[in-house]
Amino acid sequence: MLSEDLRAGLPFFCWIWHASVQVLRQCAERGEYDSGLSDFTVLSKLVHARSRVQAQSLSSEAAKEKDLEDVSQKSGRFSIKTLDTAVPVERRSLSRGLAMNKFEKDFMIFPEYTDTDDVRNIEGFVEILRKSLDLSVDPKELEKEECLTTEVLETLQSNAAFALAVPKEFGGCGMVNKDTMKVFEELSKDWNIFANVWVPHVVGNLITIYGTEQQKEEFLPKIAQGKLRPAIALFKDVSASSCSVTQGTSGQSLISAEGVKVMGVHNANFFVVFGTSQNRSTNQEESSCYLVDVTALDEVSKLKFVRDTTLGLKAVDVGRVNITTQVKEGQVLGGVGNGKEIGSELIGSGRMPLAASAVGLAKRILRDVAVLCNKTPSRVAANSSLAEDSRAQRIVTNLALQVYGLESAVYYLAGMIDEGMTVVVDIENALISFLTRNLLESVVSVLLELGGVVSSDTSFPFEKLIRDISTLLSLVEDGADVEKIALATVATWTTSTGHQRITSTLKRFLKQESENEALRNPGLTHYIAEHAHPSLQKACQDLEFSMSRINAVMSKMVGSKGKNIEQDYGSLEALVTVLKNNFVMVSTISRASRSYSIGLRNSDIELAWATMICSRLSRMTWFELDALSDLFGLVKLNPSLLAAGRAVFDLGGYVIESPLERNW
Amino acid sequence: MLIQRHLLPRFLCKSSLVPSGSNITALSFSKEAPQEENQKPRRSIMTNPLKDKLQKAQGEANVLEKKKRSVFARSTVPVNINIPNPKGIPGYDPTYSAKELLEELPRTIKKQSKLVAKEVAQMAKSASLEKPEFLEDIGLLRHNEARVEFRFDTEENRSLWHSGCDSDWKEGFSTCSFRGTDCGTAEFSGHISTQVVKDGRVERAGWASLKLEDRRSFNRKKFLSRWRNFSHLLLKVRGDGRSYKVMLHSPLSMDFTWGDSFSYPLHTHGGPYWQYEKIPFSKFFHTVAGRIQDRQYKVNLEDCSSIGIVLMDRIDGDFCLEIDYIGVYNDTTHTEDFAYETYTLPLFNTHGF
Amino acid sequence: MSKTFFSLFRSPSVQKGCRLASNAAPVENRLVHIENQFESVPPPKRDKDAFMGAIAMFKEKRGRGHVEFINSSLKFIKEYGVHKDLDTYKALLNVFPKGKMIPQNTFQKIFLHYPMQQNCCVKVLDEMEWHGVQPDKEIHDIVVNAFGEWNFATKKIKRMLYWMPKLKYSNKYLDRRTVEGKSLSDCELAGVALKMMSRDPATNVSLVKFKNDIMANEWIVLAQSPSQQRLLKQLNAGDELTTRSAEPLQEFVKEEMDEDYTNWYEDWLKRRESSKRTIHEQQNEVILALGAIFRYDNDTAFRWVEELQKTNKNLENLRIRLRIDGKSLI
Repeated sequence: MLSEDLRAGLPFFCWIWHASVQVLRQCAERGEYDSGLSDFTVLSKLVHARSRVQAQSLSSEAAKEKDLEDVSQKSGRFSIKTLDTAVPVERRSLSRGLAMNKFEKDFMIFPEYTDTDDVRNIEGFVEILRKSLDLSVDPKELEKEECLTTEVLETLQSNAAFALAVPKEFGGCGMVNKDTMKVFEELSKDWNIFANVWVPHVVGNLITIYGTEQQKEEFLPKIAQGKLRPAIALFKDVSASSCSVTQGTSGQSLISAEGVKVMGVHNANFFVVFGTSQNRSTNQEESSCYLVDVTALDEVSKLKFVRDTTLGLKAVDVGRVNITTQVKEGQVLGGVGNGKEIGSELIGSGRMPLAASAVGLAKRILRDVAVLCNKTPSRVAANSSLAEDSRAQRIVTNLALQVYGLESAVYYLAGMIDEGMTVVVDIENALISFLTRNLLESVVSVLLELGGVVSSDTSFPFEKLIRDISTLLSLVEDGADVEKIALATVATWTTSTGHQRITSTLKRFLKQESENEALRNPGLTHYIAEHAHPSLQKACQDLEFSMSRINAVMSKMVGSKGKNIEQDYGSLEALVTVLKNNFVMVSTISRASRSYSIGLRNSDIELAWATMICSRLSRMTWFELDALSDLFGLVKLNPSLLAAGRAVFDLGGYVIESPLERNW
Repeated sequence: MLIQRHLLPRFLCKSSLVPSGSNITALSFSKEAPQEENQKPRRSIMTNPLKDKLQKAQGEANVLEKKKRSVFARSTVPVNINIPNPKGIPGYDPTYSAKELLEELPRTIKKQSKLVAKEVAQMAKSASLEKPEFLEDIGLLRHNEARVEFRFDTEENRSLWHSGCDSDWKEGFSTCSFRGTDCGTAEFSGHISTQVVKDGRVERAGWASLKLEDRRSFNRKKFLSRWRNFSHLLLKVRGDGRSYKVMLHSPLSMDFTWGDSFSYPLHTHGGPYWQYEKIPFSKFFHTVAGRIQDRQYKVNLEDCSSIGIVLMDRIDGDFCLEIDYIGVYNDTTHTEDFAYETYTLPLFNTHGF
Repeated sequence: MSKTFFSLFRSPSVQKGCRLASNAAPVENRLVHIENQFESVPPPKRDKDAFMGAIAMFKEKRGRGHVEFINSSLKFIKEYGVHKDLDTYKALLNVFPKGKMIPQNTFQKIFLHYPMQQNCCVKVLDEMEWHGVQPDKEIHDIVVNAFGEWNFATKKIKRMLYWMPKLKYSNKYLDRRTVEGKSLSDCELAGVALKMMSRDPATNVSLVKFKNDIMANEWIVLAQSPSQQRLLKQLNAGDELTTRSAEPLQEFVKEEMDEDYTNWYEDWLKRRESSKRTIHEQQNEVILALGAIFRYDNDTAFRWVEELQKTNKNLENLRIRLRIDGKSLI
C-alpha cells in the first residue's frame, strides 16, 4: 500500500520531505508531537492524502459514488448546480468547501503529470506548433484575406490542432486537459486562429460527452481532420431571433431558425443550434440541441448565413444564420429537452481554453512591453528608460500578478479534472471566466497606458489585437454568472450545514455574539500552512482567516435574509469576489509551494508573487466580508446597488439636471 | 378585444392649453378576461348606503352662517392652535334629539359588541411574550417586504372608507362617489368643479376626499403603529393623470392636535397600467388643516389613526382613481430620516421681538 | 404698446377710473368704479397687454387705494388670461409703494403694520399659489421692498419660495416644463399624454396625420412597444374569448420566511430562466397598444386599428370589438 502511494507521489518527494519536517516542527511547538511518530509515518500520511478519494471509492459507499459520478459525467462537468450532501461537500468542491470553512488537504497539492515523458511529449508538440505558426502566420494577411490562408490551415492540420481532445478511437489525439491548455496558449498567436480551433474543440467535446455512438462515429473523425467546420449559437438572444422546432411523426421534426447569432470556423458547414419545441405530454416549452450538417442537407432545406460587420476577428464566421430544414432523430444531441443543460456545458467547456489563450497572449504582451519599455526613453528623467519609471513598473506588476494568478488557476483546474477524481469544478470554471475577462481588459489597458501612441497606430500589431479582443469579449459574454455562482454556493451551504433560522430572540443574540467574535478573531483550525512550503506560511494564514470569516458571514446573511438573498445583487457580487479570491489563493499557494520545493528556475520570484497575491487578495476579501457582515451598515445599502442603473434604463438616460440649473 | 376610453391625464384639460371644443381621446387596446366580454358595463355601480348615514350624522350643520367678527372668537383661518372642533369645520355643531339617539341605540350596541368580541378573540390569539413588532423593532424587517393593510374587495372592507366633497357641505359643486368594481378593487370617481358658491363666505372650491374611518370598540382610535418600522407607504392605484394628495391624519385628544396631518402628493400617470406608488414616510410634511407648517417634523405613525386621499388640483372635470390596495413597504436602503430642513433661523424669532 | 392699450388710455372714463373724480369737467363729474377700468375693455381685446396697461396707468397716477385696485384686478386675471403668468403678479405687487410700509420700530414689527395692505398682498400671493405659478427671487424682493424682511406678507412669500420649488418636480411621470407655458397642438399633447401613460420605456410613439381637404386637422397617435408587438403576435386567431386566466402577480416578498432550502438553487434557476411577465400583462387584462384619436367615435377608432394593422399583421385574424360611443362595432 505504502509503496503504491509513494510511487504515485514520487515527483513530490522532495518537497513533501520539506513539508513533513515543517509539520513536525509545528507539532512540536503545539505540544502535539508524539515521540512514537516518526518522520516516516508523517510522510506516509501526507502522500496518502492524494489517494484518499480513490481509496474511498472502493469502500462501502463505492456503488453510490459510482452512480453519482455517472450522473455528473453525463450531465456535463461545467454547468453549475447544487451538490447533494451524500459525500461531504468539501471533498468534492473546493470553493463550496472553503465557504463552509471546511478544508480538504488534497486541494493543496498542485496536480501535475505523473510521468516525466508526458511532459517532454507535450513540450515537444508545442515547440513544433509554435515554430510552424511563427513561420506561417501573418496577422495582417489573415485580416486582409478574411479567412485562414491555406498555409495556416495546413500548419494547423499537420499539427493536429483540430484533433486535440477528440478521443483516440475516433482518430484524434485524446489529449488530457493539461495538454490542451498548453496548446491553446500557443494558439493565442492570433485570435482568428484561436477561434477557428476553439469552436471545433468545444463542439468535439460536446459530441464526446452527449453524442450517441453513431454521432460520434459520424462527426468526430471529420472534426479531427478539419473537414467539418462547425459554428455554434453562443448565446440566447430571444428578441432578435427565433428558432422553433415543430415535431413531426417518426422522430422527424422541422427546424425553422431565423437570425440566430452564431460564431464559428470560417465558411462553416456544420451548425449546432438550440431550438425550442412544445413537449407533447407536458405541453411545456423545452429546448433541445440539434446538429445540422450542411453537406447532408436536401434540396428543400434552406440555409443562409449573413456575416456581421465586426471590429475584429475577420477570419471567423460571426453573424446570423437562417435555417429551415427537416431533422431526423439522429441529429438531436443528448436527447430532446436537454438543450439548456447542453447549452451551459457548451459555454462552460469553452472557458478554460479561452483562459489559457489569454494567458499565452498576456505572456507575449509582457515580453513585447518589456522590450518596448526598455527601449523607450522615459519622459520623466533624462538618461533613463520607461522601464525605470515607477508608474510603468506598477502597471506591469498588476498585469504580471494577474497572469500568474490565472495561469495557476487554469492549470490547477485542468490538472484536477485530469486526476479523474470525483471533483466538481463548475464554480471554479465559472470563476475562471471572470479572471479571463479581467486579464484581457488589463492587457488592453496596459497596451494603451504603456504603448501610448504605438498601440493605436494601425501599422502596429497592437491595434488589431485590441479590436480582436473587443469582438471576442462581446461574443463570449455570460453576464448572469454572478448570481448563479453565488446562489449555487449559498444553496449548497444551507443544505449541507442544515441551516435553520433561529426564532428565539435570546438565542439569536448569543449566536450573533459568537459570530461577531469569529469575524473579529478568526482562529486557525485547519493549519493549512502544514500542507505548503514554510515560506508561504503567511499566505496560508491569510487563506485560513478568510475561510473562517466567510462561514460566519454566510450564516449571518442566510439567517437574516433567508431566500431573499437572491434579489440582493450587491451581496452576491461580494460573495463571488470572495470565492474568486479564495480560488486564486489556493491555486497560487499550491503552485508556488511546489515550484519552490522542487527548485524550479525563478521560483523565488514565484514565491514573492504568490505572497503578494495572497496578501492583497485576503485584504480585499476581508473588506468584502466586513461589508457583508455589517448588517446594519453597508449591507443595508446593497440592494440599491442596481438602482442607479435601473433609473437610467427606466427614464431613458442620464436624467440628472445640470448643476447650473436654477429652480427659482 | 376591447377598446376602452381612459380619462386623459388631466393637464390636457387646462383651459389655457387646449382650446375648448377640441376632443382628444386616449384609447387603450387590450385583451380582457372573458367574463367581461358580454357587453355589461365594466364596473357595476353599487350604491354606498353609508353615504346616507353620513348625511344624517351631520345633523344641523350651520354651514351657511355668515362669519362673525369678534376679538375673542376663534379665527376661522386654520392655525395650529385654533381648531374649532375635531371635524375642523367652523360652525360644525351637530345636535341630535333624544329620540334619534334611542333609535340608534340597538344598532350601536350590536356593532360595538361585535367589535369587542373580535378584539378579545384577537387578543387571545396573539397572547405571546415575543411579539412580531419587537422583532421588527430590532431591525428584522427585510428588504423589499410589503404588508397590505387595506384591500377593497368586499363591501365590508370598503365600508371603512368615507368619501366626501365640497357639495356635501354646500360649499361647491363637485361630486364624488366611492364604489367597488368587478375586479375586486374600488373606484373613487366624480367630477371636480372649481366654481365658487356665491355666499360671500366660501373662497375656494373644488375638492373631493376619501378617508379611512376605522375605529376600535367604544369609538377608540385605531392607530397605524404597526407601520412604524416600514419605510414607505405603498399604494397600488390606477389613476387619470391627476395629482392627488395622501394624508396621514394624527389627531390626538388635545384640541391643538385636531388638525394635524402629514401629507404628500400622489401623482398618477393615467392609462390602463397599474402603478405601485411608494412614498417614503420621511417625505411627508406636516400640515394643519391642509396648510403646510413652518415647523416641520417627521410623521409619527404611532399617532396616526387615519389615512386619506384628497383631490384638489384646481382642474375642472371628471376624475377617477381606482385603488387596489394600500399598505406599507420596507426598503432598507432608504436611510433618509426626514426630507425637510429642520434647522432654526439665524434670528431669534420672526415675530419682530 | 399695442393698439388696445392706446384706446384704453384715451377713454375718459377710464382715465378717471382709478379715483373718484371730484373736481374735473362737468361731463366727467361722476363717480366711476375701479372695476370699470377692466370691464370697459371688450372681451376680444382682453389680454396681457391690456392688463399691464391698466396697471401701468394706475401707477402713473400714483393714487391711493392700492388695495382696492389690486382686489378688483384680481377678479379679472382669469378673464384676461394672465392668471398663469408670473409677470402679472409681479406687476400687481409692484403697485405697492416701496419703503413706506416697512415697520420702523418693534411695536410696528410685532403688530400687523398696514394690515389691509399686507392681507391684500397675501391674497395676491395665494391666488398665485392656487394657479400653480412658481415664484422666483424677484417677486420675493418686491414683497421685501414693500413690507420689510420679516413681515407677515413676507413670510408668506418665503414659505412659498421654500415649498413650491421643493414640490415642483415631485411628479416623476411628467416633466412640467414640457407643457407649462407652451402652446402645444392637440396631437403634441396627445403624444405627451401617451408617453406619460405607457410605462414601458421601449414604447414607440408615432403620429399619423391624414391629408384631407375638408378636415385639415385629422390625426392619430399610436403607442406600442416591441414587447407588446410580440404579445400580439402570440395571440391565436379568434383567441380573445378564451384568454388565459391571469395568475395573481407576485409583487413583493411575502412576509413569512421560507425555510425549506432543499431545492432552492434549482427552483431559482427555473424561475430565472422562465419567461418574465411583461408589464403589459396586467392583472385582468393584457394591454396591447395605446393610442389617441382626434375625434371620439367608433369610425375614428377603427382608423386607429387600421394603422396598427400595418405593423401587426396578426391583428387581421382577431375579432376586434370597439366599444367607444356606447354602440359596439365588431
